Formats: sequence, C-alpha cells, structure tokens
Amino acid sequence: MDLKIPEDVMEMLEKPETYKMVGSLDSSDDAPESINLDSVNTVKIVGEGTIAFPCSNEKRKFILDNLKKFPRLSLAVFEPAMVGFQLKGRLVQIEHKGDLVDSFKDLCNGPKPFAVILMKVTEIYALTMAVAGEKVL
Amino acid sequence: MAVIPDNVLDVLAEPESVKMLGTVNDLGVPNVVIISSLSVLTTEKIAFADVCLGKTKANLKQNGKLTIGVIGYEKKAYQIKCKFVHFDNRTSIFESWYDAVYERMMMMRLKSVAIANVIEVSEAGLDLPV
Repeated sequence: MDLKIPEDVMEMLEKPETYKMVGSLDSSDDAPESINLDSVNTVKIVGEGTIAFPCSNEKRKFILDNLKKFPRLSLAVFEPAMVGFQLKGRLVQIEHKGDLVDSFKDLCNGPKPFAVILMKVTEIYALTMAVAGEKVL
Repeated sequence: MAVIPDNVLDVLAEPESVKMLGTVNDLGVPNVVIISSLSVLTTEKIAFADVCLGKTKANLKQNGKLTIGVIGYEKKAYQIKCKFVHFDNRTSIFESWYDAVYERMMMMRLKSVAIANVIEVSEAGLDLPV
C-alpha cells in the first residue's frame, strides 16, 4: 500500500520558505563513493506518496545521471522553528517535458527547469530535536 | 584534503544558516539530518555535535562518508564532502561544547563531537534561487 504523506509534512514541503535538501549518491563506477546534498526550493505533491522537484541548475545536471544509477533518495525539510522531517524513497522517473515540467516552469522565478524528478516516498522520520530519528510513517 | 573557501566560511558563520548532514549506509541508502552545532576547526577540518545521531553515527562507523550541506542568506547553498575521522569525547573541544549544547538543545546531552576532514567543496542546488 502507498504511503500517504501527512498534511503537516505536505504543507512544509510546499512552503517556499522552508529549507529543503536532497541527498543522493555519487560515483564514477557502480559503488557509491560519496553523497551529494542539494538544496531544492520548490516541491510539489503529485500523488499520495509521490513528490516532485525541478532541476534547473546546469552545473548539477550530473545528479540526474547519478539517480538513474542509484535511485535511492532522501529529502530533509526543515523550518527554523526547529521542526523537520526526513523523507526517504526512490526515484520514480525523470521528466524532461510535459505538463508537470511546464507547471514547474510557471512556479520557478529563476532559471527555468529542464527536468523534474519524481520521488516515491517510502518512509518518513522526524527531525525535530526532541523526537529526532523517530519513524513517523 | 581541500580547503573551505572564504565565501563558504562566511555562510557557515551566518547565525541563520541551516546545516544538514548526509551519510550513506553500505546498502546505498542515503540519510539526511539537521546539524545543531557545527564548527570549523581549521579550513580543512570541521567538527559537529552528536546529540541524537542514530543512523548517522552507524553510517559513519560503516564507511566514514559524509557531506555537510549549508543553506545561507537568500538560500544560496554549498556542499562540503568530508571523510569522517573519529568521535571525540575526551579533549577540550568536547568539554568546551558540553554546557553550551546542554543549554541550547532543550537539556539534551552532548554525546561526542564528530571530527571530519574536508575533501571537496562546491556550490549545490538543483533549482537555484533567483
């Protein structure tokens, strides 16, 4: 059964002022050598357990190739009021054109995205200090 | 080892900047958490507090791979790839942080201070802020 992202987590993800970083794996061969941590400013909920975020930074385009090789992802979202969550999951697909990409082009004020990453969320953990590490779903 | 450039040091020093820590386990599952206390010991060496690190600590012991992410003013982001060195709970760094962390972190106790060497520093961000 698909995981349903709780309302409060959805709200935090879609708020532009929250801080969000995506962790993905990096390597020149088949074994992960290091972790990349990239900020994302715009996240959309596109299904019960699926989120999407754009890539508009040409210098970080290699992340898309890495994701095809290592599809596991983790996205941390944090509000300066010291509330946060970590969403773990897998790459569903990378879209380069279509309605979803167009919708992000409308949302993004800066450089327009050339790809949108879809992530299936499989687990959610608390990052709020007093309960950090506890599994939410 | 690599050196953290001045512009990234400035972002790390911003009181409002948000720092995150990414690790990976040996099955290739990334883990990203918030770091409450981070300090630049030298431009090639950093330290961060272990207050409630669970999976992160286990991952560091497994393979020592870690990346610090920092988001500063106007959401400009950088990543600092590091190699974990050790957990410290005996030296002056631990002692000097202990009381401050206890007061700031809702009475949670500092377990140790993680030390890491800087390997690579770069700008990071999938969708750049305007």
